[in-house]
Amino acid sequence: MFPQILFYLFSSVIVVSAICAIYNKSTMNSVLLLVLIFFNTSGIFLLLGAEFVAIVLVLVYVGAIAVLFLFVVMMLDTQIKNSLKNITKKQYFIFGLIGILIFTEIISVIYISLIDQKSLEVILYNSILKNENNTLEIGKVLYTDFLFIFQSLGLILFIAMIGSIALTLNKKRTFIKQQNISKQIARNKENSISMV
Amino acid sequence: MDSLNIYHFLTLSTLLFSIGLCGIFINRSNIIAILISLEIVLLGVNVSFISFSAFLQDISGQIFAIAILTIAGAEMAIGLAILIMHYQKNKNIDIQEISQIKG
Repeated sequence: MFPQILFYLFSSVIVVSAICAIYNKSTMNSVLLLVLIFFNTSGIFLLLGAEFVAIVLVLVYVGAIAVLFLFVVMMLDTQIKNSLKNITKKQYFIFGLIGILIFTEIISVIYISLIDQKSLEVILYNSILKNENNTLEIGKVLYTDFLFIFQSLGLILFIAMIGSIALTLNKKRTFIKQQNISKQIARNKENSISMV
Repeated sequence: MDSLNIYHFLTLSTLLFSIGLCGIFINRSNIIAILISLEIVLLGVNVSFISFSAFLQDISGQIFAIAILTIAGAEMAIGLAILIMHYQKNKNIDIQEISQIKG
């Protein structure tokens, strides 16, 4: 009984926050609703017994990416000046129709393809029931079987870091006065003193 | 209520995916809202991977979910860096006004 209550609570908050986040006029509200979505998704991952991924979600997604979003939203002026580019009611209807269509297609494929599975139950809180450690299981596999994926993810992060620093670096730094030591040492009496 | 089966989690995943997709269509002029909707799409896919990892008792779903997190982080960093440079030049973030990008 208790897992069902938790699941319906988390998933209802997720769905309502997602719908509010895309319809919002203010970008700051959207980012804060996104943080709420991340926390509730982390709760759902805890329900499934994946506690390492749940904590990594909070640390990385909320702690780094959502904070980055908040910095950018606070620095930029996010008013859309031209109000003629608003979406008409007919376009809203078409977008909603496309969304419902794709949802129905994916759901029907899922329900039909899983129809003759023997048991569809998901084992919840697996690591607590069997006294296993989710971090240990990920660690057993990540550095041996999935070593290539791990190293290439590090390379992708490195390239992203280089890319974003190279894009936003101010190349012209003329307002910073620096010392040129060799010029200072090469001063002699002839070019520093003049008789007036 | 019967116990939770895989259909519950996959319905949640599909719902998040389609809501994020609608968000990309609706917020065409606000690029930060497009990035937020993209994050919602990736989160829906993450939920699907983790729920299958619990259903099939296979750890590789969680490894791939960590990979998706990493790629989303890298993509957001570069996308926001490009957005900041564009804002410094044009002083607004209405992407329907971009006329300098040529095909």
